[in-house]
Amino acid sequence: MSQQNATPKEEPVIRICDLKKEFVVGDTVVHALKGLNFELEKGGYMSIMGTSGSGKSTLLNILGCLDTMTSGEYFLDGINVARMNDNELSAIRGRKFGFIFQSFNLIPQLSVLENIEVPLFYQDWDEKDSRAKSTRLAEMVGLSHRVQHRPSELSGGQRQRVAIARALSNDPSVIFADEPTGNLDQETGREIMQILDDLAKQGRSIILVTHERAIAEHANRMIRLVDGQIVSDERK
Amino acid sequence: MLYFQKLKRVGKLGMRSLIEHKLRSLLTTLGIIFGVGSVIAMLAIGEGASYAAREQIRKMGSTNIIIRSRKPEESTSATNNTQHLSAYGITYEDIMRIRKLFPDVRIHVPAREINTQLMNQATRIPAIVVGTIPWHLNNSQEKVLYGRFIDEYDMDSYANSIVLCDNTAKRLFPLEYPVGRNVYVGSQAYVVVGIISSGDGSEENSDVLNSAEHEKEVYRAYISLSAARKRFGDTIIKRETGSMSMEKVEIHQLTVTALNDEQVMPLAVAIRQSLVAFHKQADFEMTIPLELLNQAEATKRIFNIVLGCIAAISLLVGGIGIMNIMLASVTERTREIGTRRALGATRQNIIMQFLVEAVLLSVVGGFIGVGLGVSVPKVVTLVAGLTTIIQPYSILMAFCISMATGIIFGIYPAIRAASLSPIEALRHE
Repeated sequence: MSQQNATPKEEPVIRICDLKKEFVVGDTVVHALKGLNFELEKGGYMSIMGTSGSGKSTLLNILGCLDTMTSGEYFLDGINVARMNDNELSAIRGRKFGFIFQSFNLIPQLSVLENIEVPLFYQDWDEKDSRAKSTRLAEMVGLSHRVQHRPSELSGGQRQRVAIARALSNDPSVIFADEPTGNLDQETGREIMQILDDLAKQGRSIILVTHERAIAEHANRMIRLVDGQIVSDERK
Repeated sequence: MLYFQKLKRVGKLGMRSLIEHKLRSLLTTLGIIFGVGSVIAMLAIGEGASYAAREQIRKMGSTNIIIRSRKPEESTSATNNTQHLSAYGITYEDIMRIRKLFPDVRIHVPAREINTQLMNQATRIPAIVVGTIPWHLNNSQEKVLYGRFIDEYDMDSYANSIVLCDNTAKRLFPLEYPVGRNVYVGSQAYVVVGIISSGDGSEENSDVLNSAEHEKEVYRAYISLSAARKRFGDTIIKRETGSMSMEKVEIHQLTVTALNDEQVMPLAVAIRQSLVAFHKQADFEMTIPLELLNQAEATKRIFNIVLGCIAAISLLVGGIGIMNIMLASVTERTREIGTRRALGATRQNIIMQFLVEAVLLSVVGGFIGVGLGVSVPKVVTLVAGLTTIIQPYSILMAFCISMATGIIFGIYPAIRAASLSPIEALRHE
């Protein structure tokens, strides 16, 4: 299960230093994240665990460049992304990240293949190349018989498979999975986790956010977040 | 190249999401469809109508000034007198004066019209006999069908030669070849030397020239001007029950031709002044085709401005419809926007996507509108028989305006869609 294929000297995929995030709600300042430090080595499979309100979603949004931090540094593949502008962040997201959401977030009017191709579209991929790639990915997640279907015609598990294929289409540095089994029954959830585990074995860097310990334990490293602070960092 | 490819793909995508909501898209574009369609159709019908009017005026010649004798108003009160001689109208002296003052202009067709009757053995019809000059046809739409027109010899010899208009000929000689036969004008016998067509527009033409003669068919015949003066003199005597009136009119109509369009108006003013100085009564009227033409153009311009306003209003309404539906669409698809942003779309990508959809809506509406606008005038022509002229520029204009409408009314919803932060958009239920 465990596989440590990263050499210690290599630049980590993600390195954050003293990451802070504050929200102003009315007159009070809410400290959502209180100075976090950690690294994710290449090929690492990390889970971030915590109850709701612990700041794990905020952390995921910042790591995924969907939100900006208040202070601190964030190095992605050695590049500091902390003070990038909106367009640069969009480019980073499109090139470096794959997202798997709890509620799948597939685009309803697009077919399975077209959904998988969305990130490639924004990377200016050629139509033919992206079609070839999406076909291959659909096959990989076991959906080659449903490629022309709309998301509404698929089951929950199938939808999440499409989302996984989509997250892989741009060959990301990191895959973020936000409660990937949250909307699925246990059996389907297990299937999805199996796919993620396989991806980790293939050397993908994955950050998994969940509140369930059973899910979090799939990862090689578990960070537990309470009240905006890391309270435990376990490695298998 | 890459940019166009991308635009093409965004366009394809936009087209699909419009087709996804067929009814909604159709209803949204109705404003544009009717706006564009009605503008093209109205322009075509208006252009057709003004074209017909302008053609009619143009037939009179744009460099011409037509001066006609007119019975002065006040003389009608004197008709109670059992005997009254009213002398009015343009005189030979007037022509000489105009010729002296403006040696450059050509004075055409001093036509002399006599209301009388034409007869042969079988038929008697009321007719207008026109005393004219041999070169009358140079300046008119009429053509010789059979025989010849009045010539110089007729003019010099006061010959009793007569040329009939084809309708006159048909009426007098329904079964025979009229050339060479005799026709009586009053008690005088004339020999028919030719038949001329009244030309396709001559009926309307005479309407414009003389508003008094309309409705009923007018039978015309031409004799030489010299013969007309000799046989009829300058005085016309009409006998009515219990009274007799005499009219003395030397020249009924003359046409002054200026050298070019620019000279027409100054010349008309000068001629009017020279005539007014010698005429105590308002016993002549001037018709200036160029002026009529200018008036027609001015009317058309006003018509176009009004149409432009209607078009602007309907396109505004159409545009608001598009904006409304695009705003709804942005709200409905907030999650999609968030997802796309998370997957690497920039704000510009999102703006482009929604703008392209809005422009597609309006352009498709524009296309359908053009179809409607082109077919309505065709139907009008078919059903009502009106001339309609579809202006190519109106199609282009309508198309460009509908595209602009899409951009103008699409930009706000598009910017709104793009301004959402990705996490906000993703959180949207």
